[in-house]
Amino acid sequence: MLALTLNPGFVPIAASLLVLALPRNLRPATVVLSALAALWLLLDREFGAAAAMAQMGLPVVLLNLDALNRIFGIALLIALIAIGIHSGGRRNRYEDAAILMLAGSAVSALFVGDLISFVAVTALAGLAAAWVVFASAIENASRAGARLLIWHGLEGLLFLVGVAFHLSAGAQGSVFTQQLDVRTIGGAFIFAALMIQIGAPFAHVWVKDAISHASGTGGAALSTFTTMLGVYALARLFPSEPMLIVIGAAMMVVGAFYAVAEDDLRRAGAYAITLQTGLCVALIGVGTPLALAAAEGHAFSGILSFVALQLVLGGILDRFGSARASQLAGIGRTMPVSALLLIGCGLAVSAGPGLALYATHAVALEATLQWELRWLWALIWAAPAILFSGIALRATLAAYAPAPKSLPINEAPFAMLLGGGLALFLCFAIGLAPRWLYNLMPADLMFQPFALDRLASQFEILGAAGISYLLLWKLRLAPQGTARQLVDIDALYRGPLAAAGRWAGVLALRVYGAWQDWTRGMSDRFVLSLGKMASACDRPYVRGSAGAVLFACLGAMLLLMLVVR
Amino acid sequence: MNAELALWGVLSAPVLQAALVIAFARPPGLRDVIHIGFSLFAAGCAFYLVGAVAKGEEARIVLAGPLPNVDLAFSVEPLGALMTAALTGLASLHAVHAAGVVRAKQEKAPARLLAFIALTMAGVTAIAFSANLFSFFVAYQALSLAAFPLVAHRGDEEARPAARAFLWTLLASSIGLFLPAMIWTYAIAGALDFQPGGVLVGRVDVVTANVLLVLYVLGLAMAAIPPMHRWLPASSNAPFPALVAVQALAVLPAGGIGVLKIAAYVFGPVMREASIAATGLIVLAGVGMCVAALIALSKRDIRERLAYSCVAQSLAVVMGALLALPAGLFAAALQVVALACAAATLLMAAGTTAAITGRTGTVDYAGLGRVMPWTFAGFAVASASMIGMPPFAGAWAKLWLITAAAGSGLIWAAALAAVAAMLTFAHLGPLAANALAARAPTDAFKRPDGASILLAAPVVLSAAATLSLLVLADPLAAFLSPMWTP
Repeated sequence: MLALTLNPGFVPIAASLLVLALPRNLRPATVVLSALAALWLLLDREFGAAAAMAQMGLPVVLLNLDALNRIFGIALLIALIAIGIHSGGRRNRYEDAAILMLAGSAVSALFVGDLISFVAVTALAGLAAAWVVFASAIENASRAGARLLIWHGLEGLLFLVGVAFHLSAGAQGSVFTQQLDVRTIGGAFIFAALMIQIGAPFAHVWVKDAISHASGTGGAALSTFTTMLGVYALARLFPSEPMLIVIGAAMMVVGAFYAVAEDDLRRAGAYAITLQTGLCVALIGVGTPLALAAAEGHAFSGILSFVALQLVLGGILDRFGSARASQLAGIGRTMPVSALLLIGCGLAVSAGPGLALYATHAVALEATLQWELRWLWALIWAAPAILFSGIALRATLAAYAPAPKSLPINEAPFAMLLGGGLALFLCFAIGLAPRWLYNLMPADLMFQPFALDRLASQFEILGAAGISYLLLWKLRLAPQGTARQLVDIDALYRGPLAAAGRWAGVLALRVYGAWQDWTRGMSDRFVLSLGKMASACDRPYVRGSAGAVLFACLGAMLLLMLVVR
Repeated sequence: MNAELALWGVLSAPVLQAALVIAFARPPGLRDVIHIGFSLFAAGCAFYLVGAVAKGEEARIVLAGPLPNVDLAFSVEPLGALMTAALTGLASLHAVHAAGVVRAKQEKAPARLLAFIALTMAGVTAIAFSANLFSFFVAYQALSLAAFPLVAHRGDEEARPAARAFLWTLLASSIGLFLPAMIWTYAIAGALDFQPGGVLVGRVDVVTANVLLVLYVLGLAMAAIPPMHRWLPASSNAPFPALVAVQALAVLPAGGIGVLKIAAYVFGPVMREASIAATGLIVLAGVGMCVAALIALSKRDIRERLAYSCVAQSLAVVMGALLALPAGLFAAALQVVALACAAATLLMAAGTTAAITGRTGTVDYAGLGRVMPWTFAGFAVASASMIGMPPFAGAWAKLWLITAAAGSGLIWAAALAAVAAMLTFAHLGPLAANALAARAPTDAFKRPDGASILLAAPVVLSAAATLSLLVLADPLAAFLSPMWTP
């Protein structure tokens, strides 16, 4: 049956064109239905490659299903359902289409079986991500969209060059199931492209830039369908690459620092995604079967937790107008349900016991339990504590701080609450019964996350972090809800580097102008001397050597042609 | 209709079109209908010829036989058929756009402009279907002469020296370098026919092969290989319809087609013996690509920026053809088609913008996408294709070019192509993004009703054409395979 060999991601892509023409009340249903249809296509199939054809002599495998992409596919499509429900709370036709296009191309990228198709759909996902930002009504969103477009354009080019080098190394090398070597030229370019996709240090800025400038729904979509696609590709192409351990750890440090320090909770959430993505990347770098399974599971629960957080924050942003911790005072009273959900989401992203991230975080700790990786273990062990104090506690303290004046209850739209609530519910469901998730993982996992030693240790660290944060807060050493602007690496390239580029451009222009003047002068002089020579030849009765030289040249040329022939 | 009739049709329709456009210059409606109608007819003939070639039909027209073994002849083969179909197809879109622009800008002597655009299309068609080097040379000179009045169209202080530089570069290089090479080839081979596998095969030694290659490639100034590229920036002052004809549809593609024909049909396997010259020329093309893309970055006028961008893209064709592998020739052929699509779209979009808003500075483009969404959607898609972003046409050409370069052991050439792609990204990406993203200017339009359908629709359609290679690349590889399998 044709329908069965369809790549599940093509359903949302087709739906994205459909929603452009649909009335408002049908659009959320279309988003949800397309996600359900894609899920059905995904779960109804046996593992293996299908729908292969040839393009320019290279295999194009439009559908290749296995355990690795199935777990990512399920997570993304479940997240799309929650986002679809949430999208019913606001009116934005173009954003709906862009989100569906983004989700569809990200899911397609999971299931294609060759590098060329992967590059094509990833590029499409990049364009759709920029469209999501463009469709937002937030101030300066279009500039952020342009910046995102530039990041993704750069990534697409790196991908293309990498694939070209890779193809030239071996004719059959375009199949997506084989591992690449980062030490080959093609491998290095593809690796570099994936570093942009996951938001590795220095390229991490696009994640917060895009999410904080997208609308609430769009931010959730961006947090779901972008970086985790890179994690999937790394797990596919570069498992057990030692460099990934360092890169992942660096991402965790950068993400942790900014997640705690950032005032805008949506940005803090974006940095927290960088942290959790870094954790997955480091686990892929460790590369043992348990570590790979932990990375995939952690990506799964990370997707659900962060989509919940961004959806709830999106609801608050939509109704309250801001998601800055310094301005949230009093929403515990005016938006009681959202505030409760926010606490739940804070716990979800900081791997609170009983929530999805805890179940996979415990596996991650187990996977890095080696003497030479003790520093990584410590980092992973500390990550929930940082997010607990940086997001969960900070948001709670801000939400229930006394408001300067009492306001009436003004809860987020029901659809938005429902979307966020559904995602959070799934976090709880998976966290309490994680066996289902463990069964989805590619490795066979016999694991008890609720063993007392694991549970106690998690409670201890979260408790210690909470108490110390509260102490610091009381002693006024922790951030006290003041708005501030943080400087990240993008300040460098938007400021001094841009100025340096302009200077270099002006300098190069001067050099080029001088070169042009010089060549013009030279050619003028050449033409002048040619003319002089010609006029010298034109005086047959005057003794001179020019004519003789010319005849000699012609003779030599004729001779050369005869000899060569 | 048979293939020979279609060949007559595609070669003579533009000439007749030029004559009729001049004869029926008024009323403008009739003039435009003739211009568009004949363009469509030529495109129809070209597409018929593609079908005929795919079926294995042959057609040959002999006009004269000036030398033994050398005819002034035109014949149908895959490369020519494909290029003509792509270029005349785009030319029929451009015919609609040109009709719109001359109306909107009230261009002076519009009939003359349209007539010479038609003649350049006749020239490039003749080049694509030329059966031998002699016919190619004649068609090349005719194209140079037909394009000259387009560059000189404004006739002002700027246009005249530019047109002189244009004609001088093209004629001097072709007569000074290409003609001697052609005579030399005739002396060696006794024939000038284009044939798969190369007319020179088994007849030349290493020195001759190297010298001939340099003479041929530098003689084809239309391919814009430095230092013979001056004509292209010089032409950027012409009116927009002329610019599209010169830089996207006729003169620049003619250079690409010429280099491809020389590499595949004159040299063929002999290219291996000319490897020193080929390597040197690839260095020139690769470095030239990067420098041209860098210069484009410094240009503040959209026409100049696109001119240098086109130089960089055209050098990719030269690089692919000189690699002399099937993959390289395929990449070069794809690149000619992709460049024609993207450059035509970009120049038409710039023409629409200039006609409607009077803006040609890149700085003034900020936010125009907000008020001209269709035009700038086309502009963005074409920019992405020019840069080589998947899934647009340019990406597949770049993919094959880099693959072919790396596959023949020239990693540095592949790296140069990649760097040029990044630099193209730098000079087109932010421009397109800024046009779409920035705040819309309040006084964008010179006229309140914005761009007419004549100005917007061709841009969108030719931008859509850049997606065609996504599905067509595989059939095209099979279609073009007679080029490299004698």
